[in-house]
Amino acid sequence: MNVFHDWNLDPAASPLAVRPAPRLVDHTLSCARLTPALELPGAEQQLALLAALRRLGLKHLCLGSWCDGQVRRLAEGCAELQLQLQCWVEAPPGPAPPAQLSCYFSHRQKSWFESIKEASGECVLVIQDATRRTPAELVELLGKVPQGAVRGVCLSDDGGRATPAGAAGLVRFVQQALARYDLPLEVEWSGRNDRGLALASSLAAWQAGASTLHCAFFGLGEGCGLTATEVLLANLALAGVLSDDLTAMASVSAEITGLLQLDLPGNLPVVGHDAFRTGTGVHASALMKARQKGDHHLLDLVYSGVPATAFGYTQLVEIGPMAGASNVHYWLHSNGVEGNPELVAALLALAKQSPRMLTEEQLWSAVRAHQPQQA
Amino acid sequence: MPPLSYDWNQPEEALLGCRPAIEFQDETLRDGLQCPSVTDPPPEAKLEILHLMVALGIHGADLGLPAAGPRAVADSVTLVREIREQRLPIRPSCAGRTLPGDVDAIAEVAQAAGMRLEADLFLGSSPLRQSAEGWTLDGQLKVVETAVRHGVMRELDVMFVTEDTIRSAPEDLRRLYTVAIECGARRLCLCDTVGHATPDGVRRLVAFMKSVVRDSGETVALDWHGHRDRGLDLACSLAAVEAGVDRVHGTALGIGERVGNTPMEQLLLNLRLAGVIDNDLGRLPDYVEAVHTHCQVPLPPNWPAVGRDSFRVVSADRQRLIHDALERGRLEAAETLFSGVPSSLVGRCLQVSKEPRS
Repeated sequence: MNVFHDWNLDPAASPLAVRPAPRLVDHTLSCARLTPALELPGAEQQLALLAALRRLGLKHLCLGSWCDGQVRRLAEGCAELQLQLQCWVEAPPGPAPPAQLSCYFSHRQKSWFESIKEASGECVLVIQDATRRTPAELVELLGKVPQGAVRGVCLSDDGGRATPAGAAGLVRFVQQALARYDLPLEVEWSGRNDRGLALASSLAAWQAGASTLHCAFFGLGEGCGLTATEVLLANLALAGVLSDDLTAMASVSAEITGLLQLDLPGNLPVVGHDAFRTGTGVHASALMKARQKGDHHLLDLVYSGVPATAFGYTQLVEIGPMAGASNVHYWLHSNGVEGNPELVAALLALAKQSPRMLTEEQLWSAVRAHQPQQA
Repeated sequence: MPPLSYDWNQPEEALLGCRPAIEFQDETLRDGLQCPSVTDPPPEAKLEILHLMVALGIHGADLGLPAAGPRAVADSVTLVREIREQRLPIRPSCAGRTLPGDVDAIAEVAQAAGMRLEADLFLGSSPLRQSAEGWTLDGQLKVVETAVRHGVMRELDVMFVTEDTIRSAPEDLRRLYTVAIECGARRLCLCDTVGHATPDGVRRLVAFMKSVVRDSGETVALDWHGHRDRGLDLACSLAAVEAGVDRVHGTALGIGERVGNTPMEQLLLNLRLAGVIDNDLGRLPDYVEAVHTHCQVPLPPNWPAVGRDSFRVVSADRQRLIHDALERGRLEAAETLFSGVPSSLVGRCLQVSKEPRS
């Protein structure tokens, strides 16, 4: 039952109009290779990373270019470990990879249509920089796709140019062109974040008919990176189209962060350190009242558009310069400390003098100073 | 010369450009300072940030929540005085709860600084908040009436804000906003406090609110205030602009509650690319850098337009194509080959990494 009015829902929409969940192709590893500040870990750890992604239901993974020896070894490792993954590789120019592999062929390769015919696994044609191609160019290109040779075409927004309406318009146009050629192909969307619209454009592409979306954890990748996997998953789950259990998000995110030795910005939606953290009095007051009612659902939703527990996190209340007494009460209760008015006033006064959130050490030091028995 | 590329984003962006002028409200020094990882900067740093807002053509700035304590009051007074004394073309405002005490704190800032202020008075309106707090709608209507009348009486320009508007019942919103208008509020803010909105949800909400304003018969402006929890902040803010709000809020680097607000730099950038505004964005990196430094918040390397790596090309394939374009003297083409944002628009350059990655 909905406990609030949701303006996101269209009251006029038919439940049948809901699109099936898109297939996600995750590029975390291949994008990590192109992220300037990162060094990839060893092969064993790369396999551990792929296994971690699998725990979130991600089973279609693009590992990188087939001409990279590391990628070839990784694909073999996946098969040996029986990770039940469909590994995709970017096919290099020239003859198709000899192994039974799923391949992405770039239309920029001069002989892509011949290579595709030789490939033994599933193939998808990538139209690079699709968002700058004219309708005529796209139609001409699609007209060259051999019948039965590929399962789909991937529209790649290489420069992150697309707005949501632009992405949707392009997907619909390509679908219509494919229908005219009688090519029953799936349309895939690969978006980038140069304008900050990667997620919104990916969701718009999916709503317009794209069946596969490309993404990478934390928006890794060259330049501003790809659509971030974690927010794509969260949005699909919140829209009710993804039924997978995502409570492993917190542990998977921590594992990937550790394996890649990433310093994750605190302001990343869903997985950042600050995603479920507040130091503001009004917010703490509402959270405290929800907790006092014993209503965990309310506690999780009253000041959060993303329910923390659904992704393996918890709501955190801390004490800083914007705090009120509720922050102090919440923190004391969470830490099993019995508060009294003097202690609450002392902690609040300390917070008001501080230019930032008080650390646990500062708080415990103040508690000990007022109530030595709590040490 | 034919255009370098086709633009699939039209006609959406062309339609955006047809609307009346949009205004920007900068929340960096109020909501931004509620970011759990932020350091409240000293007054001189806040003054630097304020001047950078002016340089970017931002119309209004929320300068603090005076009821939060003496430091918030002192800093707000300093900033408002600077606007008055330097005749800065930016409208100051302060925020507060819908409580007479908070209204008084804002009025005292206005009095001390010698300048009329906008008071942004907020009240939770979603059934979730009503349930947590044990509020009734009738009780809330009285709270709004008292606070807004008090603000008007204290010669403040009142903007009434419902918190968590995007999860509030239509009839509750209609009654709350109508009372606020009747009591003298001349600006209303639709607030996605928890970052729940999708662009379609924003369009529906704005259309509904325009009908509420129309029914009131008064001239009342509409604002949109978005958050980043789902990563749809920017798309929602652009949807609000498209749907016809008069002013849209943002913060530098998106700092704010939890994972923050709509990043002002991305908002300005996208509206500039869409041709809606023609602001000079050359100081955008300075504005972001000032907040990054003074508020001690990270600037992620891949942050659009201003991150260290946002214009860095590392893959060998891309580098080859860029060199080809440069050799042909096509600088503009090289700059936009792999970025939807021309680096020169924000005073930056394309960077080609010395060690290609593939």
